[in-house]
Parts: sequence; structure tokens; C-alpha cells
Amino acid sequence: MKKLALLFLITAFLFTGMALEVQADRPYEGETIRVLVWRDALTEAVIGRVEDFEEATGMEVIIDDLPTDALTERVAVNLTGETGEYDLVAIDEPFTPRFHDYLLPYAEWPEGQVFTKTNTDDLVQAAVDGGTFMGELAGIPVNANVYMFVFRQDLIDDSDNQEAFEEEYGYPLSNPTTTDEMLDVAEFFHNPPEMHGFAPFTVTAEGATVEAIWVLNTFGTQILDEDLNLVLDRDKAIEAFEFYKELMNYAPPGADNFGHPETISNMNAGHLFMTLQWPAIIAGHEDPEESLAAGNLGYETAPAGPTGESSGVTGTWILGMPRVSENQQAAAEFGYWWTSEEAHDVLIHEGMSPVRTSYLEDEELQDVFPWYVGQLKNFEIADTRPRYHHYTEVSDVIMEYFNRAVTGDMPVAEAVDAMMDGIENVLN
Amino acid sequence: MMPPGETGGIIQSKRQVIFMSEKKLMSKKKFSERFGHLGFLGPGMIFLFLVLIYPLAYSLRLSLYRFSLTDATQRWFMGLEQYIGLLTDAPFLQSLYLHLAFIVICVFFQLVIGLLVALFLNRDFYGDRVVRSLLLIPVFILPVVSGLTFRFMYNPQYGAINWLLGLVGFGPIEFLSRGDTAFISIIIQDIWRMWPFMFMIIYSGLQALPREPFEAVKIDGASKFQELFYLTIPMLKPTIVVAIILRTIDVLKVFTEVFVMTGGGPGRATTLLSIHIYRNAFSFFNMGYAAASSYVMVLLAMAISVILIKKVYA
Amino acid sequence: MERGFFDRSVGRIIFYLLVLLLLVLQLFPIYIIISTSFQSNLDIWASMSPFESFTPTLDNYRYVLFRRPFLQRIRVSIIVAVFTTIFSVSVGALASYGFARYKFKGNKSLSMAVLATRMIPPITLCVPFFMLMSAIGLLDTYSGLIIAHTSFILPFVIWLTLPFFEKIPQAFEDAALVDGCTRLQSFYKIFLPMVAPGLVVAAIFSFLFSWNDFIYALILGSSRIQTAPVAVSGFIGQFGPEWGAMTAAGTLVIIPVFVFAMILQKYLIDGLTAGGID
Repeated sequence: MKKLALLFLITAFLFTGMALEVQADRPYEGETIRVLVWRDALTEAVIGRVEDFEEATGMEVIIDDLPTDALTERVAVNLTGETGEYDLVAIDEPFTPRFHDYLLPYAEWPEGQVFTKTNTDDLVQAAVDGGTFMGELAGIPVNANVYMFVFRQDLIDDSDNQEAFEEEYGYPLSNPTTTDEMLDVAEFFHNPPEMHGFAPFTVTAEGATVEAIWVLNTFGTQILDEDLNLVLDRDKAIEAFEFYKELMNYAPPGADNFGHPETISNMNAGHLFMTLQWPAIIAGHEDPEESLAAGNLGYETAPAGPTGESSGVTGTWILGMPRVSENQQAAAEFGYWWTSEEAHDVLIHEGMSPVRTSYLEDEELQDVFPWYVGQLKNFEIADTRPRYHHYTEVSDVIMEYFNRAVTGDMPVAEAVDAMMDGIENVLN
Repeated sequence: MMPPGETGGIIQSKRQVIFMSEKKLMSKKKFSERFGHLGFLGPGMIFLFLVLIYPLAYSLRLSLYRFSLTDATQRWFMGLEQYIGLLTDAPFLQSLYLHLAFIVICVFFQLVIGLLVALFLNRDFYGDRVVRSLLLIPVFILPVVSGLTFRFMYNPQYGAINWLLGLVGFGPIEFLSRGDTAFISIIIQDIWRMWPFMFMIIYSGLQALPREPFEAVKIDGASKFQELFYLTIPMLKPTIVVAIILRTIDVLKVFTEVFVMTGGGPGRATTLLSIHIYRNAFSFFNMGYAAASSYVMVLLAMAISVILIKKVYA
Repeated sequence: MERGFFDRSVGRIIFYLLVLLLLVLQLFPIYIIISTSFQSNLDIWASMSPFESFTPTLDNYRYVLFRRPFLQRIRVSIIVAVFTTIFSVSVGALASYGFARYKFKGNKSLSMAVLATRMIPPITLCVPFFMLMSAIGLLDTYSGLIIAHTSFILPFVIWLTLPFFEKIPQAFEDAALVDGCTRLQSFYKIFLPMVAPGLVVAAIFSFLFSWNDFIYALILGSSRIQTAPVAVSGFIGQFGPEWGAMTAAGTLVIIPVFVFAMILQKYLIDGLTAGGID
């Protein structure tokens, strides 16, 4: 009897010990966090691997993903209503000023117990800048997104093309480095219906604002300065839009209402020479099963304007933690995991785009993902969109008049004036 | 229709009824007559009250405020000013006009085509039932699928409609990229999908018409046209009116097909009133404005229905 | 019926040709949907002609069913439709019975009011539904969507069944009452079995209308509650027009509708005139 009791006690003790040990490894057992993110290949990869994170921490992660426009609305309703429904929300760069009051600054995020708090020096600087407003980083950067110039390298390398181009234009064919060259190259390759020179973005959506800002910056003018004054140079803006309007001559049919779907179908079917594009979509262009352009693309910084400066636009994302979240410790862990090296090692091969600089700079990875090079180059010259609390209203004005100017709906000068008036209205 | 086996019992009971006292029957009826209907109607009416009347009342109250869901500083009482504002609000008026134009054009063409085809097919021929069933298929395509398929077909680079145009020598048209063509495009989609609906109603009406008048005018020597205009159509009038009412009510509700085809664009070219309300409510979160626009739409729906119904029973 | 142009031999041929033309025009988009669903994206983008030869592939269906959570969306649609149907038909049949069998002041007016609710465009209810459900926490839930669907399907059930119920002679129930049944018992034992086929038709239409709904599902659902129609539109997302996937999903979504339409051929007109499609 005594022996049995002893045996029982020892077993119980061992079990408890094991249980305690398990507890120590999975400190978040029983906790649940809710995360709201956008929907694309990047988040798909993360969602696919979240069980690794759940295993390591013991917590349950519920991830809701929405298309970006629906997402912004959801985030807005959620944060302003202070419901505490989500512990982490994905925030697109231009909306950081609007939402940052509701978020816990990254500096105040707790140290992780399972994963170390990510050091922002390891992350792409532009992504950190994008998430920073009034000197404070509002969350953890998770997407180093930048608008990139991409073109068919194979068509440039083709010797027949090189001969014909030099004959017609008088200088060697290469990727365009100035806006004038851009027009020449677009004209040269524009041969509908098999090939088109350039794919615009003219749908009245955020993408049009990005396009507008790119072309305005390329011609040397900003829209707002740090003190939120309208500093748009009228003449340069007109020049910029006139240039873009000319580019539209070399666009595929339907150019007046062109968006991502149209660009994708053209590029992937091999009917497009060049355009500006986001890395997540470029991954699709480089997929041999989906695209005839795979393996044939070149990445450089966008052509420079008359000022000699090249421009790009960033579109980085952060995960913000609402101040009212009741699971701040657990939520922080998720952010650290996402941006950790362990996660990166696995996820970048499953469609995630890296936010750690070292991965973009890794030469082996650059071979597998040739656009990393482009991303790095573009980060050096890229700009953010106007940083303003009421950014959406400003964006609405820009996208409307950009569209009307370049589609010929309104004379360019008139459109620029109307745009400036509209922005003035919003600022007041 | 009667379940087997129970017939006997009830018929026997029926005989018993004659012998039972009337009073007992009446008193039984009286009690349940007074309160029974509450039991049967209660659940349904209470539900509908909570789910329709209450939200409509809430919406009415909301429509008197400027109310931004996301910006708490943009919330104040406006009263009737909101409605008066709508009268001068260009986007609202434009959407209203577009929606009404859409209704009139669609119903008109659906009626004409439905009528013509009904007359055309109003004869016995080999396979007539099959043909009629096949024609009706588009009516059952979900509006979502129909809208998206047409969007696909309208594509200037790989769309089937442009291919058809190419066959007869026309260049590809960027249907959904230009405002005027986009509006026509959404109309064509609705006509295609729903004219068979009108057709079926009119066809049933035609089939139900009595033979004698037609035989009579035949004997009188009337021509085809005279028969059509002076006999057929007047006799079909009730059917036609019913068809118009039903279709108008449905077209007023249009949202999905247009939303997935053009999103209201390009610009505002196809922003029907329903899409205008959606945008204001769920893109701009101007809930007060959206509620007011909704109310105008409801009143419009009621007005149209009342006018049309009056015509039927006039 | 008449002996006109079309009944002579030449006319006959022309007649059939015209009929054929009509059918081709009407069914052409259907052909597009189905044939596109078997094409790869590259083939779709390659040419305008829908008759260009291509290698048929099941990839779109595999993609839709396995690589995307489309099956989950179908499951959501089914659950919502089933519960909506159960609730609408049961409560609706009860209400119709109440209208048909009881004479009380306001019977006519109330029933007309209920039928008039059909005029209300769904978008006009979306704003208050969204606000109210948000406050109660019913957004993005099954219950919320079921309630929204029932709001327009319940009146439809009443509309459909009321004329039908009114035509059933009251004598049989009276006899049962005299026999000692309560009203409710006579309802269950006598009346329901008699109208069962009509209720089945109502149930099928209810299911179809709930299944077809897009607008309420779009607005009241979010990430968890996504129905099949909303998912179909999701394939034409910002990152690529996945026409192949969309037509495959669209075909799958239409199948139940066709199946039921076949079953209901006889009752189609009644249902279409009484209810609404979207």
C-alpha cells in the first residue's frame, strides 16, 4: 500500500512538473487575440503559417482579412468606436495620421516573452518612416511596400529592337531614365493589339492618387509641406499631367478606367511593355504559371523628370495596437513573430514580402525574387503621400482631377486649378 | 390533397355536425375567433414590426441628423434642412434621375420585346415548351453572376460582345470606360436578363384569352394589324399593367448587377440612387445623409406603386 | 392558332430560324459563363473570340473549391438559407392562416400593408440595419443575416400562400373543431397536410431568395459571414480579374437555382409574380 502511494506521489509530481514546464513554454495558453489585415498574397502566407505561432505561444489567433477598401472602413469604424474588438489592425501608410491617436506607440509596446521585440533598425527604413507620425512610430511595420517601375527587359535586350530603335530615335535602346525617353520607348513598343506601351492607373481610387503623386513628384512639385500648406507648383503640375496624358496614348484600350485588374491581365498576357506596380502584384507577374512575362522583367527606378530627379511612392503598412485592446502583451508577440527572422525564413517562400532589410539585400534571395533589387532602389528615392489627418478628403480631390485631366475630360490647366481649389477647401 | 385514411373520419364527423348543437359550434368558434388570430398572426406581425417598422422609424430619426459614423465631431441635428438640402444636392438629383431613367427605359424595352415575342410564339409548334423554358433561364441567373459576366463580355480586349461587334466590322468599344456607353451597357444587361419574365406573364395572359372574339373578328374580315391593335392588346391590358407594376417595383430595387459591373462608374455615370446611398453610407459613412436619401427612395417606391396600382383598379 | 405567314412551309422554316436566333441570343451569355470556367486565365486573356479553341481545364474549379475558402462560403449560404426558410415558412404560414381564417377589423388593411412591404428597396433598410445591428452586436453573424433575409422573405411567403389558403374550404377544419380539436390542432392535423405542396413551393422559393441575396450579405457580413454570391464577386478583386475562377464559382452557385427551377417549373409564374429576384 505504501509503495503504491509513493509511486502515485512520484508520478503526480512528475506530471505536475511537466505541466509546469509546458506552461512555461506556452505562456499564453487560453488567450485569444483578434487581428484585422488586408487581403493579398502577403497576408495569405502569414495566415497560412499562423499555427506555428499558435503552437509556440499557446494563444489562439483569429485573423480577419478584407480587401483594402473594405478594410480601411472597418478599421475606421472599429477604432473610432473604440470597441476593442481587435487587438491589432493593419493600417495603410496614408492613414496613420488619422488613426494614430487611437494606437499604442510602438515604443510603449511590451517586451515579448516568446519572441523578442523587433528592433526597428532591422526593418526597412521607409516602412518605419511610413508608420511614424509626429515623431512617434504608431505600430509595427509589416509591409515594406513601394511603387516600382517595371518593364520588359527581354524586349530591350532583343537586338532587332535595339537596331530599329536606334535607327528611329537616334540613341541606343535601354530602360528609359528620363520622361522624354519614356515617351519614346512607349511609342516604339506600342503596337496594338499585341503590345502596348504603358499601363496607367485611372480608376478613381487610391491608386490614382498614388499615380498622380508619382508624376507630380517626378516633375518637381510636392502637394503639401510638413506644415500642411499647399505648395503645389501650378506650372509644374500642368506639365506633369500633360506628360501623363501623352503617355495615355500608348495605353491599352479602356485606359480611361484602368486599374489593377486591367494591368495584370495585360502584363501577364504579354501585351504590356512597362508600368508602375506594387511588389505583391509583381510576384504574380513573375509566376510562370500565371504570366507570360515571368522571368522577363526588369526593375529600375522610375524615369526622372526635367529636374533630373527620379521619384517613387511608398505604401507601407503597420500593425497598430488599439489602446483599448485588452490583450496587449499577446498581440505584441504576434507582431514580433511576424517580423522575426524565423517567420521570414519560412514565409518569404510562401508569398510574403520581407520587411527586414537584410532579406531584401540577400543576394541569394534576390536571385529567386528579382524584384527585391527594385524595391531597394526605389526606397532610396521614394516619397510618402501627404501626411494629413483628413488625408482621404485630399486624396478624393486629387484622384478626381487627375483622372479628368489625363482622360481629357477637362482641360489640364482647368483640372489643376480645380484640384488646388479643392485641396484648399479641405485644408480649411 | 387530403391525407389518406382521414377522409372517413371527417366525413363521418360532418354527418355528426348536423346533429350537434349549433350552439356548441358557435361558442367554440367565438372564443378562438376572438383571440385565435392573435396567436397565428402574432409571431409574424411582431417580427415584421421589429424588423421593418422599427428600423424605418429609426432611419427617419437618423435622417434628421448629420451623422458621420467615423468622425464623432461631425454629428449634429439638422431637421428638415437635410431633406431640403437633398433638393439642391447635385449628386443626389443626378442619381435619382439616372435611376428613374433606368427604370423607364428597361421596363419599356422589356415590355415591348416580351410582348413581341409572346405574340410571335403564341402558336403551337414543335418544342414550344422547351423553348419557353430555355428562354426563361436568364431570369434565374443570380444578378451577381449576370453582372460580372456582362462585365467580362464588355471588356475591350477579350470580351465576347466586342468580338461580335468585330464580326460585323465595328471596332472594339470601351463600353464600361465611358460614361454614356456604360449607362447603356447596364440597361442592356437588365433587358437581357428580365425580358423573358415579361414574356412569360404576357404569354400566360395571351393563352388565357377567350377564343370567341378572335373568331368573330376573323369572320368580320379584320386584318392582322387590326386584330392586334383593336383586340389583342386591349384585352391584354390588365396583364400588361400587372407586368409593368411587378417589373417596375423590381427594377427600383436594382443594385447588385450594376454594383459589380461598374461600381457606379466611370465617375458617376452609372451611380443609380441605390448605389449613391450605398456609397454615402458605407464609403463615406454619412449615415444621416444616407438615411434621408433612403427615405426619399422609399417614398418614391410607394408613390410609384400607388400610381400604378390605381391604374389597374381604375 | 392562326394560319398566317409562319404556318406556310417557307414561313415555318423562317419561324424556326428566328426561334433559334432568339435562343442563341438569350443563351449566349450562359455559354460564356460555362465555357470560360474551363479556360485558364491566359487563354481567356489571349483572345476575344469565345469560340477560339483552348485546352479545357478543371484548374479553375480546383482553385475555387480547394485553394480558396469558397466551400465555407457555400456553407454559410446554406445555413442562412435553411434557417431563413424554416423561420419564414413556419411563421409566414401561421400568419397567412390567421389572415385567411379569421375575420377581424383591419384584416384586409393589415394584409395589404404586409404585402406592400415588398415595395421597400433593400438598400433603404441597409442603413438602419447596419446601425442597429452594430449596436446589438449582430453584425457579421448568422442571426443578423437570417433576420435581414426573413424581413423580405416572410412577407413574400405570406403573399404566396394567402390566396392559396383562402381558397381551401373551411368545412374540413370546422368539422375537426366540432370533433373537439382546438384551432391549433385543426391547423396541424387538417390544414397543414392539405396545403403541404404549397408550403413546399414556398420553402423552395424562400431558399432561393435567401441564396440569391447579395446586398444584405455584402453590408451585414464582413470577414466571417460571407455568402457564396459575395464570394463570387470577390474573385474580381483588386489584384486581378480571375474570370476563370469567377465563372467557375458562378456556375457552382447557379446550380441549386437551376435544380429547383426545374422542380418548380409549374409554379414559376406564381412565385415570380409574388416574390422578387433580388
